[in-house]
Amino acid sequence: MSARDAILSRLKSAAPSKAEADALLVAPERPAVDESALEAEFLARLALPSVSATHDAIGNLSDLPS
Amino acid sequence: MSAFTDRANAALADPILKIAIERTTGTAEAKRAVAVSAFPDFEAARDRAAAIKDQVVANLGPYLELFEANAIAAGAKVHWASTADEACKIVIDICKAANAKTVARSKSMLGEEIGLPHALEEAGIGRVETDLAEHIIQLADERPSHIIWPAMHKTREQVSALFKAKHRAPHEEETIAAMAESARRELRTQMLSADVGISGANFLIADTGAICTVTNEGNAELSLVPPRVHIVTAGIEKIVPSMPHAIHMLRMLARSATGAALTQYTTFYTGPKRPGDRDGPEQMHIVLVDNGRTKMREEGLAEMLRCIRCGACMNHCVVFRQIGGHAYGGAYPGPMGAVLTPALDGLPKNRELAHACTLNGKCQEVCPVRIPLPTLLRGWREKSWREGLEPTSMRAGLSLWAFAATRPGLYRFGTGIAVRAIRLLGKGGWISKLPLAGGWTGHRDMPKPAAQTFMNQYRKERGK
Repeated sequence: MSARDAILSRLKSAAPSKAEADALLVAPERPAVDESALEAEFLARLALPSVSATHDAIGNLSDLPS
Repeated sequence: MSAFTDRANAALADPILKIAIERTTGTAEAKRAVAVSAFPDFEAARDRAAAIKDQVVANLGPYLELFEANAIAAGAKVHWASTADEACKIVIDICKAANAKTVARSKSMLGEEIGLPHALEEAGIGRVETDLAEHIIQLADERPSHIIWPAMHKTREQVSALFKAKHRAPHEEETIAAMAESARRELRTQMLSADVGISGANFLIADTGAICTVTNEGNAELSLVPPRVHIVTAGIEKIVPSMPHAIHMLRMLARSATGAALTQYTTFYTGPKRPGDRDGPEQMHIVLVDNGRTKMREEGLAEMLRCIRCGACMNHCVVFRQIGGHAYGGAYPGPMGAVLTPALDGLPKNRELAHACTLNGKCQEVCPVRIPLPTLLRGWREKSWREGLEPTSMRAGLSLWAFAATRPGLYRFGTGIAVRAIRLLGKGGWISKLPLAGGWTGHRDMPKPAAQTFMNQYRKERGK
C-alpha cells in the first residue's frame, strides 16, 4: 500500500462542508473595514516608486546591493 | 540520573544560558502582552482559531485530497511520507534527480523533526541554512533550542566570536548591524546559487493548493525563488480550508510568537513558475508527512494537532525559562515539545518530559489555539504509570502512600509520627536533607513543619 493510501485510509471522513468552514470565519468583534478604500490605498502605494531602485529588478548577482 | 536530568542540570549550571533565555523569553512575553491587549477580543479569536483547526483535523483526509488536487493543478508534484525516513528519502531522491550539489534551507521545524539536515549530510549534499539563527547553529554544529529563535541559547557576544572564527569576511564593529552584514556577505551568494531550495510550510491552503511561509528576514523568498527546484516538507496537520482561514491563523501566529501584527514576509507560493513569470522554480515538490500525526488523532492527542508552532507556550513556561530548549532532547522543546515528543519518538524514552511541568496552566492560557497542554501532559503521566514506566522506587513510594491515604486512621497516625521525626532534622527552621526526598532537598531547603499536623490544630481550635 502506498504511503498516500496508508495515510488516507486512517483519515476517512465525509467531505467537509464549505459552509461549515466559512461559518468559522464570522468575527462580530472585528472592527468594520471599508474594503474598497483599503484596496484603493494599497494600489496607490504599489504605484509609488520603490524606496531603493536597486531592488526593483535583480537580473544577476551584480544588481544586489553590496 | 537520566539523560533529561543530566541535560537539565547542565543547563541550570550555565549562567550565560540563563541570561540568554531571559533576554529572549522576557522580551517575547512583554511584546505578546502588548499585541494581545491591542487586539479586539483576543479570546473570541482564540476560540475561532481552535475551531478552525478542529474542523480541519476532523476532516483531514478530504482536506488533504483537496489540497493535493489543487497543488497538482497548479503544477506542483505532491508526495506522501508515512515516516521520517520516508520523507528524507523522498527529499534526497528529488535532490539527486536534480543533480543538486547544494541546497538552501529556509527554517523548518519539521525538517529538524525528520532529521533532514543529517540526511542531507549523509547523502553528500551541501546545506546552506538561510535563516540567520539556523546559520548560527549550523556554524556552532548545534541543534535549535527554540522553535522561533533557534539560537536563543547564544548571547550576542558568543555569536560575534562564532562569526569571527567562521565567516570569510567577518565584521569589525561589535554592532548587530555589522554582524548582520557579515552574515549577509557570507550567505547571499550561496543562497542565490543553490540548486534546490527546501522549506517547510506554516500553512497549506486546501482550496488553492498554495503553501504559506512566514519569516522576518526574507530568507524563505531568497532561498525558494531562485533555485530550479523548490521542495516543501510539511506535516499533514498544516492544512487550512482557504486563504481567509490562513489569514485568521496568521493574525494569531505573529502576535503570539513575536508580538507583531504580521511577520515582515508572509508569502504564498502556488505551484512552480508559470509561462510569463519573471522568476520562480521550474519544479515544486510538496512532501506531506505523517510521522505519527494520524496516530495522535486516533489516540486522544487530536488537540495537539491544532498547534501552529508559535512558541508562546515555551516563552511563558517556568520550566523552559530555567532549562532552555536543549534539555528537552528532541526537535520540539517546552510544553508543546513535552506533549509532541513522546507521540513522535515514543513514551519510554521521553516519559520524563511530562514531569518537567508544574501544571500551572500558563501555557494553556497563552496558546492561541487553546491546546489543553496540562491535560495532555497529565495524560502522558497516566499512560506512563499504566505501562509501568515509572521507576520502582516511585511506584513503591506512591503505592505505600495510597495504602495509607485510603485508611484515615492509619494516615493520621503515620503523619503525626512523620511530622515529629522530620522536625528533628531541622536546623534554624530549615531542613536541608530529607531521607527519601533527596531529589527535592538536593536543590532547595524545606521549611521545618509545624509542631502539629493541620488536622490536630483544627481539632484543637474547634474544641475551643
